Amino acid sequence: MNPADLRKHIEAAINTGRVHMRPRWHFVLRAIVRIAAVVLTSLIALYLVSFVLFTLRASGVGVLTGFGWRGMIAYVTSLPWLIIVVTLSLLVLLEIGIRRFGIGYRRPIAYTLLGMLMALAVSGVMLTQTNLHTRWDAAAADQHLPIFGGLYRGFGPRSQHAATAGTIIRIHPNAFSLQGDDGTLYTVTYNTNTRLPQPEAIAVGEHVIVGGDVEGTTITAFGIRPTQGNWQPGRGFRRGQ
Amino acid sequence: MDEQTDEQLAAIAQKGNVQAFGKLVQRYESAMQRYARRFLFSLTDVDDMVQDIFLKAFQNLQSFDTRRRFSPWLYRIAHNHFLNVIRKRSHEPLPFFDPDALLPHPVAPDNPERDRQDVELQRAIATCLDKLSPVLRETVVLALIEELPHADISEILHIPIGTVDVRLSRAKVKLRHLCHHLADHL
Repeated sequence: MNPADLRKHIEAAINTGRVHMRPRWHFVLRAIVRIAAVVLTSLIALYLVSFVLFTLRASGVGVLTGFGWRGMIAYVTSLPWLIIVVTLSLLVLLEIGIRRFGIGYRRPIAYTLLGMLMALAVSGVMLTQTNLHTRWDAAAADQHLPIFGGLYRGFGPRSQHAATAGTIIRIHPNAFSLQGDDGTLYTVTYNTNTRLPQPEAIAVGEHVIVGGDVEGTTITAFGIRPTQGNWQPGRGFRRGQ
Repeated sequence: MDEQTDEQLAAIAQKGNVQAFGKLVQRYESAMQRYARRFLFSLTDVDDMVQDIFLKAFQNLQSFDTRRRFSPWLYRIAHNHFLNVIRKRSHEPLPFFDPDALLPHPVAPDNPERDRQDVELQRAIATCLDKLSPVLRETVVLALIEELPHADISEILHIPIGTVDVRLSRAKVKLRHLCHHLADHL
């Protein structure tokens, strides 16, 4: 086809109405939908990141890392992996989404992924400092949170059993009775292998976090840490702990 | 209309002037045909494909921002169209993920003059281009045949400029190797 022919063909296709120019609003709307999808995905990812951070903080499982290899294993297995995998999948979706825009495709994938990960972590930590999750967790426990209730009940701090926070109410030989923050009465047994940074902390009235194997209401402790008044039930350790 | 820039013509065409768009067709027809022929070696209906590209460009003309350059925008439409054709018709692999775009790479300055004078490279492009993967072949076509700046290729392919440089240097090495290998067997 020579250039004049192609030009004639195209002009004829336009003039006969075989092909139409899409209106500008079509592209504006498409851009808005794309941006909205990226923003919505970011918000969901941010919410999930802060939810994971809140769960780790409020359940006290973070202290397990100080209880040796058993504590480390218990910590890793108690991470909400399903939520973490969903969050990472959202991050991949987000990466695909922003690569449609110049801000995304002009930079190497490692930079954009790392940037998003850092932004999510920082904003997730900031969101965890608010009492949003504490209120929603309490509402979920009372069956008053319709949409996210299942998330808190299934994956929230109350679903974590590797660490149990409570107050010592009675001492026995190599054991004590623990009134859990959730109201449950536990019997905690310990021995010389139990990681206990301050043995004097085993005292009536002391608030502690116990890491151990739970069987019914009996906990075989592999580590015990006193909270020294820095623990807020439902929120975890105060900042800096 | 001959003195007007592509962007001015596109702005006029956006208001419904078919001749202005026809002028753009005239300006870019041979470039699009070259791009199609070199990129899609095994396919024969290049004229139909180029026509489809211009019709798509007209349909989407309102999405073109006249403050930007028209050429990368049109090449982007052609790139997407060609990828769809390859996916539908050929068995050449088109990777979803490009590992070259993962990490940052230093940006090398464009030197089209040096590439033009490189006789061995020009011979390799002429004889062995079809032996390259679509990803490398397209970069070679845009950079060494169409002689587009690397910044424009980055816009067209939606990859960082450093990745364009990496692909190009990888393609040059491969072309020289393939061509040398071919010459040994002749």
